[in-house]
Amino acid sequence: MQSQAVSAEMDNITVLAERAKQGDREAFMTITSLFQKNVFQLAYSFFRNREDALDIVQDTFLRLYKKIQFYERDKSFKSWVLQIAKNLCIDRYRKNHNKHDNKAMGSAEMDSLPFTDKTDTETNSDTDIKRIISKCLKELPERQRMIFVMKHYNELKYTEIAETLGVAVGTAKSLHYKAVNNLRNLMNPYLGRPL
Amino acid sequence: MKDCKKIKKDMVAYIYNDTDEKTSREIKAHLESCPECRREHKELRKVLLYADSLKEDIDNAVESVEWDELPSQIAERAFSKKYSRSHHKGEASKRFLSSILTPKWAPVYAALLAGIIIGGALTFIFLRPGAAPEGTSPSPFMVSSDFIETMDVEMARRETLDYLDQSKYLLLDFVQASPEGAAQYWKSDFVEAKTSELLSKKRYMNQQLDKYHMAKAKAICDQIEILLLELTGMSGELSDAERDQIRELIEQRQIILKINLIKKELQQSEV
Repeated sequence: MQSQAVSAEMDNITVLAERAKQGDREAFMTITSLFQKNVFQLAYSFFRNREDALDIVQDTFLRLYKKIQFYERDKSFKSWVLQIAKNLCIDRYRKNHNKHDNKAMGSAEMDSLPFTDKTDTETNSDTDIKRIISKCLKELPERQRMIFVMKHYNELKYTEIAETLGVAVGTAKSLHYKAVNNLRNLMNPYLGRPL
Repeated sequence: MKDCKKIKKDMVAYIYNDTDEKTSREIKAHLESCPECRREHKELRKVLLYADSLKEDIDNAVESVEWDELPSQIAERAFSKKYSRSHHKGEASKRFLSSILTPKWAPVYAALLAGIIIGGALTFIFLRPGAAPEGTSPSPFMVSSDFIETMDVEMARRETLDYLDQSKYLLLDFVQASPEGAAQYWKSDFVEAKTSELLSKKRYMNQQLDKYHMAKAKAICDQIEILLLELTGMSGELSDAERDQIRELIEQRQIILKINLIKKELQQSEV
């Protein structure tokens, strides 16, 4: 039943894509409304900034409209949309890397993070934990960071991640493991002891 | 049972419940028996729990957006862009045409026109036939003036040779003929036509002989011309005395010998 539903959805998406290709405004708006939250979640998790994320949403669908004739029907439409979003995120990140690397968290703010020798990490406030995880996520290599975001916040399956990134499923799994492991190593100094 | 390295590879996927049933069973069994992997599993789970703390922020950010309005806003931009692209294309070409046809470009067009006229004139002056200055290297697509001059010299040489040949046979026929035969021969239409042809040819050759500095050939040709003029000047039947006088003239001046020598010289100088 579920596979039938997925197949029907795919057919619908294909029809919508075909109509959007012909310049059907309603079809394009329907596509946008179907995937806009996925794109926003991905971009917001990556940048931790609402405005950046909204810009990425707009740019993703504008680019989608421009490139829709290149959509390959054998590929998941969701993966294709997220691939566009991922590319825009990486482009934007590289472009702004030196300008406002720590926009969400200034260097002064980073310095104030609790380097502690407390043995009980539960005593760290929720806010501190959020700041630590935000900072450590930003320190991950962009590819590992993107995979972590896709898996943890977008809750994509490894097959979807692999398709979005254009890699094998095994590679996606391996990169994700490295991302989580690196995140653990980055968090250790802030939490006072190995997790 | 899988070893620790293999277990670690699937450990994170196991935490997300994204492993198949068999792998999940193997990992679960391994964790029960391996304290090292159990510790690793616990630590990684903790990292992911910490990472969960951001989910609330993400959800709040998602809630803060007016999702119902966004598609129409994006569509507005996408379609207006499309319209403006095609619209602007036509506008841009019109603007371009009108901008290049304004009076401010007049000096540019005048300069271009002058350039074309001057260029055309210079091309005509320097590239017209025979206009190439001396010493100019020959173009592979053009006949050089040197070559043309060589051909002219060769033509003059051959014409002179032909003139000398025809004159020699004419004079020899006259010299070697019997007295009666000589008189008849000289009165024949053939000789009359031949003489007139040789005389007119000589007039044409004079220019070439002077131009190409063929002095020796010119001298003998002049003598032949005088002889022919004398012969044609004699009206009526040739008297024996007149015939002998002409023969004597031919022999005295050694005209036949000179013709042969000049011919030989001209043949040797063949291009």
